[in-house]
Amino acid sequence: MTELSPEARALFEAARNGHEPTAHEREQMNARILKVAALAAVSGVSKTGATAGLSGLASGKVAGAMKVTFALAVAGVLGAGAARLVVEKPRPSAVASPRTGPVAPPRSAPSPTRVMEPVRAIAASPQSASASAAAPSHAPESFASARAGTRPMPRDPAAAPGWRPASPSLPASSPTEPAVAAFPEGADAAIADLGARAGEPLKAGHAALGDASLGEEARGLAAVQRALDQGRPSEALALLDEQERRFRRGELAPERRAARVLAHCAGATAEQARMLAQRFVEQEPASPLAVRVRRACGIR
Amino acid sequence: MASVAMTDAPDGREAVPYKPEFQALYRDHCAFVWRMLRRLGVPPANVADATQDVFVVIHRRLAFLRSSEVARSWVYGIVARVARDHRRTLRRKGLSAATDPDTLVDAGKSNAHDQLEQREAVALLDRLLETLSDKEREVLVLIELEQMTAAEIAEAIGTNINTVYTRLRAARRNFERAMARHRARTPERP
Repeated sequence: MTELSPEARALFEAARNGHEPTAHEREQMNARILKVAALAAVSGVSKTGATAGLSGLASGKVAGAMKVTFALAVAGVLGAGAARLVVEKPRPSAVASPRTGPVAPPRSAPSPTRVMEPVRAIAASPQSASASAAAPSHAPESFASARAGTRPMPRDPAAAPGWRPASPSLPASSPTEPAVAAFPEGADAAIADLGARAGEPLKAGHAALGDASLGEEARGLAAVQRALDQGRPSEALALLDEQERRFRRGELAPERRAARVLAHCAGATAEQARMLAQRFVEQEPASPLAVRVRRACGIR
Repeated sequence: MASVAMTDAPDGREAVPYKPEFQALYRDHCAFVWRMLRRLGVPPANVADATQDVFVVIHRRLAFLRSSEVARSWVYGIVARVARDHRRTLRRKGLSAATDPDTLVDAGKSNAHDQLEQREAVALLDRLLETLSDKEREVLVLIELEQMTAAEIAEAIGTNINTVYTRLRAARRNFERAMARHRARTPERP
């Protein structure tokens, strides 16, 4: 095997630590990831999962309770407002009410949560998930050292100082708290179904569609979300019309349909909304979005 | 706090099912994710977004992680895909993934001269790595910077060890060529 020249090796050595995040970058990252975790907990977990997940965040035991199954694009439309409420200013009643929850216009700035572009485009490799341990390694930061299972954060002893929420005011929610515990029966099954879908390998058609269009689609949906958040349902509907034409065979069609229903519910055309809602829950009975749509528009 | 649950009890008692914890995964792998994204060619301006993308996927797919022993290669699989996705998007937009040296600071280097030297080294390394294909780059970076063995890489990227060696050979050759071209273009320092 050809080795690198001493000069090339020296370059690698000189650059070795230059790709690490700075302490400041780590802090910013911690804050962002906390938001993601809270968002997912609010929008996509089972009856007790949401509250347990959030209190878990506060107490430092997160993931056991967190079943994250929503694409962030979905959460972006449906959950960001709720996440903001819970993370920054706990108001359980606001989160609990289907009519005044995430969809209600909080006159503030748009959701700080970015809609993730590649979320749906990426599926972790099943091979890597099932891979087994192989040859030993000689480096302290290599895979092998991670396999020891007790490896501390490399070169960063103060690993996640900002991980715990800055605000100690996170509610120590109990599973019976009404906040997000009002998930109807069947939500678990719907979430499990979503989880199963997340495990499927990428479809060829999806790959052909291209990640760029998925990114654009997700950004479009984020714009719809902003319009909804800021109390402009007509604008949301106009955006949705435009996006329906543009992404005719798009990946986020169910999310757009749900957003359309929510826009109608937030607007004046309640009767039409109920019709749309009925149609949506018939077409997407297993979707957790159906749960929200039912609640938002008061149908069974 | 122990980051992972035991999968096998050493004394033969019944094994506790492995339940990965998102927070522990984040704590243990955040720096790894960040630097691997950088090393796979995600520019500094995009690396925070890409890191978030990685952890969103991890969050969604947590249930698919079966054991702590493969956590890092599992995480790496996600990192590689996110990096590829970001780079593809950049290329489509006609943007360069090359590094702006001014954005690079290693907090560990207190000395300004050291910082400058490292910044230059990182910028040059990134530029040279840009000349490789994604697959060559991946193998070279995992071997030379993460110091993984070929067997580990084969496992992590889901290929066989011969392919890893073939890519590594090509990567080293192409890297040396790029370095020679760089030398030819750059006047000797006094």
